[in-house]
Amino acid sequence: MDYSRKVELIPGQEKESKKFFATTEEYNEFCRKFIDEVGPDLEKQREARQQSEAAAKLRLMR
Amino acid sequence: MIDGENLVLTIVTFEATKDWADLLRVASPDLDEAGLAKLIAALNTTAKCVAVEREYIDKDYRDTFSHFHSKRFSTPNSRCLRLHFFDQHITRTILKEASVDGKKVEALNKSYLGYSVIRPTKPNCIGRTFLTPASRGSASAFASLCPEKVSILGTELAITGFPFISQDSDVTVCAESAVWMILRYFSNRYHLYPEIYPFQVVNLTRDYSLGRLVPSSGLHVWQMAEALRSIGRPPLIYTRRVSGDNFFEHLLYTYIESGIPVLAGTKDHVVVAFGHRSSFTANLPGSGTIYSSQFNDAFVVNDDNRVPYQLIQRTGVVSGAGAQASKYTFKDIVDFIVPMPEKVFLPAEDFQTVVTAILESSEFGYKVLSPSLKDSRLVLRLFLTTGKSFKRHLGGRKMGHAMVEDMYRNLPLPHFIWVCEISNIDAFGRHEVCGEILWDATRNAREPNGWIALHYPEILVVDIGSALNRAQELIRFDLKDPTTYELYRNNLQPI
Repeated sequence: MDYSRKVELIPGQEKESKKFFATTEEYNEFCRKFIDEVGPDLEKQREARQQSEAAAKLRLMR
Repeated sequence: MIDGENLVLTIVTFEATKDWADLLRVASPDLDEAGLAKLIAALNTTAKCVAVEREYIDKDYRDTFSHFHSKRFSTPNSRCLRLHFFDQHITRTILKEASVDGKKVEALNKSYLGYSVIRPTKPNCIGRTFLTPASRGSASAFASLCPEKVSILGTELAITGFPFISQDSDVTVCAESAVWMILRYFSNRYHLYPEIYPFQVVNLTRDYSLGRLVPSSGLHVWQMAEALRSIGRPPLIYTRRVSGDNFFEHLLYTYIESGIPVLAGTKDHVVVAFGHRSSFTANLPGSGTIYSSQFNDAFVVNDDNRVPYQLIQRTGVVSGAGAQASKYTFKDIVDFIVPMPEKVFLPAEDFQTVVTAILESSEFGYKVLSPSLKDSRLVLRLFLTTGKSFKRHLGGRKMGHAMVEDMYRNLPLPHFIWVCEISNIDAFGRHEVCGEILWDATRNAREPNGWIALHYPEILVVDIGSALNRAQELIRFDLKDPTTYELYRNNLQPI
């Protein structure tokens, strides 16, 4: 298998599409902003799951 | 009317309400008055005929008989009755002829409402029960269903439904019964999961238990979660107190919408929730983004103490709703356990966080990239599905643009994807959407490159990099003359 081969998903893909980000810097900037934005919420949600798991040890169903 | 009262298969035809008493006479002593009351509650409006199959060896009851009941001094019978319900009058001849005639078996299949095994256990005699949703009459709802094949006098019938069993109060109480219902759903629907019998359910918790396992004194929530994990469904647990009322109910809906039945716990009881009822045209106040969960007004549940396909209403029991309305409301559900597929690492709440960040971002936000959506009140529907199922429905849905359909068809997808369907109030009322975001469910939420595709009416952005197992590489296609299209329906079926 030649991993450097250019594979298209649909015929004419290269002709009909454009790169979304013009430069790698723009893309990296988006990634950095994205991580900064979602980080606090994800942390809260992780803590919430841990609290729920802890509560599950105390609840008996019968 | 009773046909063949002393035969192995007795047929009771209902001509008046009193014929349920005939059934009690034919099926006693195994069927008792409490059991009959449940059957009447579940089937009174639809059943016209019942075939009573005697000397039935039920795999689930035999499992508990072998491991528990047989060890008693006074033992119950090891065999059961199985009651087959039909919405038309049937005869022994019809059953026999259907075994060799395709058209007749099809007609018989249409009238078949499913079966209920009657165990010689007290106080609950209703054993494994598999009724079609049609047995309860229309619920105007959507639910996860699985198939089963049933043989009566050599005639094989195929039905879909959701498994039900009542607790026997010895080996199983509500916790084991609810776990059994979910596990049987998985083994019926997917070959990946083994069939698990009631005593095996008990044994799934043996490494996480103190003291004796039987007679059961119930299970803690975490023990039920461990039982699910041990058969390859790693669980997530949510509690109302931690999540907050609205978000808790939204998450519960989202997993059910994803076709994953969940164990929903009330203060001291647990039921299986596997469907919902939504009013797509409900008028929701406010101007912010709407989640489809806000249209949800009931969950479909199997409560082992009641009848199959009950509805838990958001606001309370509607008068006259009968036995098919649960005594619980949304607020009574205090926690739930989601048996996640093994290859889904991204939980619903994390998906919501990352997908809304994309929708609001200055690079990919709908206000930036979609002139037709930017002034709309968005309706978002979040759900999990498999890449394979998503692709299977592309042709029927058309995806609003030939380019989008073609791209999705060719795009390598992970086994599971999270989907955020994007619609507006008008389109959603017509059960249509304007676009979607696809997210790799095997990703960590902190990876900014977990999304696979973003589709607004005017633009399609695709990550062709991860599709080819390389670094993210985003390309865009501008779309002309887009249309709205049918929302994705595969996870749940109308009942």
